[in-house]
Amino acid sequence: MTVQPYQVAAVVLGLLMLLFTSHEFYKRKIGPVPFAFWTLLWLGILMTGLFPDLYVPITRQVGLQTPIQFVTSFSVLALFILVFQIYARLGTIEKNLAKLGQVVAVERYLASSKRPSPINPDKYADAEKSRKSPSERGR
Amino acid sequence: MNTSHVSPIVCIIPAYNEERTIGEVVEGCLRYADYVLVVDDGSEDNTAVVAEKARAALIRHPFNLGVGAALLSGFLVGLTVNSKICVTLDGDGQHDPSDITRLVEPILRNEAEIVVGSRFVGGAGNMPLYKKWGNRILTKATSSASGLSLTDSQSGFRAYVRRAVEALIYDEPGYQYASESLILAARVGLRVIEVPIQARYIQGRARGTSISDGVRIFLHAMTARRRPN
Repeated sequence: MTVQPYQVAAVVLGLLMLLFTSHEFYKRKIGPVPFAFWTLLWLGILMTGLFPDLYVPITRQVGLQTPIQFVTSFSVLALFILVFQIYARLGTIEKNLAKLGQVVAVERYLASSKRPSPINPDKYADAEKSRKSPSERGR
Repeated sequence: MNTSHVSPIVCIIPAYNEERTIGEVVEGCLRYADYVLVVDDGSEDNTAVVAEKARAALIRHPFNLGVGAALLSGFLVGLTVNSKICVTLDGDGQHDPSDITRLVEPILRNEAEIVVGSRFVGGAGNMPLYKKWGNRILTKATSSASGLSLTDSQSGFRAYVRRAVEALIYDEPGYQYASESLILAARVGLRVIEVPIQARYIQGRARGTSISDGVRIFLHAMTARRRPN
């Protein structure tokens, strides 16, 4: 049986990334859930290189030609989902960071000018509550 | 500057790397306002030093948070100095502080809660063409989302009566605040009118809304109707 170049690439990539993922987990840079997810993914790629016939039945079932197509197609889909999740998370972090920066700046200013703070933590944390009409506020 | 605890007109100037122009803007505002507040939005140059030298009160963001966040910081402080009217204008010198009286008058006559200085009511002046067209599209989107009849939804030169400031707590840190605040104002029943202002654009200092900001504002305005208050 001849070894295809993609098999070598899959084995090398799988092993390297497994080592890197374990290192990141050991250094506590990633939690147990991402560690499990990425380990499974890299193992999947590694297995494709080592035992290309392993996925043949599933590959045929989903209408793809080769096992590596199966792995890459599903990896691309998984990556789209991941990118979307990261994007959504980033938006929330950006907004929270902006609020934090504002509170720091305003409180610093007020501390230096000895004025009472206008920031009501309950109101400010939930902007929706502040969106009342002037008539509702008893103007 | 009037430093008493009653400051009827407060100018709020968000500034990011505006050391060349901020001093002149502050001095101009001090002729028409009782309190001038510069929000240094994480500048890497001497904006803060120049603003303080020009006798402005200074709020410093620890890093760049966006013009919407800078204005909100200014509003929060503006409320503590017992302002009756908050006027916002850009720190790059494109707005003429002498127009402040024109913006404030309708509020004093109780004709509006928010007055927007429009660069298009009396002609667009020397506004770059791409900005003119971009502004037109965003203004149409904002008018459609808010139900207001606007000619310049992206103008940063505005006057707000105190209760409008209290009602407009928006959470858009970037340039979306310009549309967001008007949509919100219309929803809570605040009266918004426009008055003509002059704007000058200095070549080589083209700043403001980028194309990606424009796309974001447009999508924001188009989806605003479907989002809850």
